[in-house]
Amino acid sequence: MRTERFDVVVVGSGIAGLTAAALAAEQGERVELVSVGAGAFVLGAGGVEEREVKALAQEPGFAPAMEFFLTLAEAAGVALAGDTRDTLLLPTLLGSFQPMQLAPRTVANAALEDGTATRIVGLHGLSGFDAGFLAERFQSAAAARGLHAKYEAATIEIPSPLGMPVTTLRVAQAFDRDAGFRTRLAAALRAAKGAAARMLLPAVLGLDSSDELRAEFIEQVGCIVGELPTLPPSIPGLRLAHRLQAHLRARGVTFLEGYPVERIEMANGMCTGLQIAAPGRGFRVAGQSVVLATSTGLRALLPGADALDAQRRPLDANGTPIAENLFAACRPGEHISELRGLAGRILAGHSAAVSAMAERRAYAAG
Amino acid sequence: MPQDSFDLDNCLKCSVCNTVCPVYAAHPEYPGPKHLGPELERLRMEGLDADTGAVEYCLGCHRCDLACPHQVGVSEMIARAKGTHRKPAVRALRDWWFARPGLLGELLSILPAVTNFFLQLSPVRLLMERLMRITARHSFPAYTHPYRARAQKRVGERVLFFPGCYLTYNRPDLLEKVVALLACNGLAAEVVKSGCCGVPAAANGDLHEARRRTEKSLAAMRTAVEAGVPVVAACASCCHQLKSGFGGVLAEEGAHAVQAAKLAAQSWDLAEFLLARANDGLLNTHFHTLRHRVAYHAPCHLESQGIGRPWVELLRQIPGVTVEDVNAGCCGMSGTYGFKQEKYQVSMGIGAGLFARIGELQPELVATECATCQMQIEHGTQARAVNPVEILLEAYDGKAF
Repeated sequence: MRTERFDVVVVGSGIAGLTAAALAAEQGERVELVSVGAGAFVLGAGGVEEREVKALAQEPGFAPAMEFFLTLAEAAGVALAGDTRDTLLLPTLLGSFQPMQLAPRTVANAALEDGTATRIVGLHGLSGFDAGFLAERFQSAAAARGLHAKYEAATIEIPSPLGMPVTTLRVAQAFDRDAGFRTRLAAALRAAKGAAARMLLPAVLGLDSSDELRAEFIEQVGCIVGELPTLPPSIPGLRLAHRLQAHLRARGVTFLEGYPVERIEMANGMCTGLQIAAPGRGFRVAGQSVVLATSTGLRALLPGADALDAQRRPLDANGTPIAENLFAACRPGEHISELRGLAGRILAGHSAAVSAMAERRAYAAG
Repeated sequence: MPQDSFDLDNCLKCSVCNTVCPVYAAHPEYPGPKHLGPELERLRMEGLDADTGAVEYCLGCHRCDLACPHQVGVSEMIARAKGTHRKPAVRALRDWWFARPGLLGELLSILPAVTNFFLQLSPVRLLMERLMRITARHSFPAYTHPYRARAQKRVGERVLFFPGCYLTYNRPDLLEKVVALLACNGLAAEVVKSGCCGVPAAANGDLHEARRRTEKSLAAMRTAVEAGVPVVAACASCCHQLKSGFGGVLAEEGAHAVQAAKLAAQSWDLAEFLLARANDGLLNTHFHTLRHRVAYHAPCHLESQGIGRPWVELLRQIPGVTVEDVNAGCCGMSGTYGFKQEKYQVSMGIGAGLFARIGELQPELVATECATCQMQIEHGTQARAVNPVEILLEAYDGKAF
């Protein structure tokens, strides 16, 4: 049997797993990230809700975890705007406003502002984004909050034929690949600007685009441009995933995607390897430390797990760690979806990785 | 992935498959794996003929399967639909040949010099484009006298080597190199004489031929597999086929399926096999110091095996060799796909990202274990593309390739 050995193996490429892998990689560890599919966060806007922060603010490790993640996201070219005091009221596809604490910069650009005139711009042929309906709804939702915000609608032609049906994915791919497309899109938006101080688009500004590239685009348009996340595939969530993955790859993290961990091997109180259900014989990876950040309940992989200790090590029924070098983002019996949004997962992944790193240092010190 | 009735219900329409599909990104009219797979599958289950020529555009790269958060076997659904979809006569005839690289190889290598001479004449190629819809823009691999096993006494541990069509008909010299490489590691390789693995047949929608190839392969290796002899393949697609139980062709067929599962459990990618021996201290590491700056391209069918990047790990053990993992997605060639006139442009569009990345890296060599990836990289860039076997063998015998 072939075993590939790493310093740290992280299971799960959701936001918890990516955070854990980033922390380990930053400390010079050789990291493998094993996953089945992207995390659920790719379906969303890639932001943190106000209620998540309220619920978690007092949790130990929350502030450093968020600080770590914000630095990471900025370095990866997908910075989050906002801070932990002020709330952003972000427009949704259903015409309401959602209180968010943090959101990707171009998504945060769409936040409700008193006294601002905003033009909602639809793309001709793109279904599921009705600029007229949204303008009407935002106008009345703002008025209900006692704010004077003016919303009006416009529709532009997509500047190059992208095939049918038009999807946000196709527009975003063209945005990434073709500088000419970006220039033409900026020109079309400029022409549709009218008297508005700000324009709001369906989120299409690239799956891989950096903050810098999007800022240049907005400069070309000549007014603030905000993105409104649409139905899946949600471009801002995917962008966050893509850029974090690329950032990790550049730091030597390797990815094994597509096959689940089917067995965790233990010997003498240590996790000695993970058996992965690849075709044929399967594949085995081993890490000196292992962080489980998977949406599969922990008990499916560790039937005897009962709780986590303060270091996030799974404990058996007697309260003994199942393995000294095994750490988990979720508690046994808890599903990752029960963690509070993006912030809860960042905290869980970060805490597990902090413990794993402490254990690595203690081990190295003998 | 095995077909079961829950597979379809696991699709939540999240569209993550579309975001990783190389064809979706390069072909504006392609509906994408979500539509061609799970969405149309519901209609197919009702016996409705919902398929169009769009299914023919699926590469069979398995990236959708790997990206799916719920492990839906998307590409398998599309592969089956390819099998039932009716093509116009010209494309059907061309694809009949493309489904049979073994038969083509046998015929074209009878007089290889004549074959090669004609296949590079532009009037011949233009005629082929007109009559057979085979693009005149992509050069063909040269044919040569095919590999014929010589009666040779080999010493060492027994392994079966599954060579695939390309090594047999186009690069018997490389086939000999693999045998030599294994010999350097104390392994006596027996070359399997079963013919094609069946991937091209399935890719061209010829499920009948895919089944025939599968049965031939199983029969050719049965005795050795029963005896527990490991089977090694150097071609990523052949290896994926052996490991995946022949891509579900035999999914529900009792004895055959059992046999295919046994073979799958004993099949190895060549570099994976050598690394496994390294784990047991059995890899020959008497390497010469070389001077190579290599960019490595992982073929899709290596990614789909879920074994990481064994060649990267192996080549990095050779002193003086630096390896950069290009990691820029699919090359777009997908076996016979890039030779098809109507698909040539899509194929090159898919490869554009990889070509650009290689252009930036300016490596001395591009290494990839897939023959058609090599062809496409040489077609789309200025780089020289080689099989990593050549580099490893040079490290053993010191002879430049």
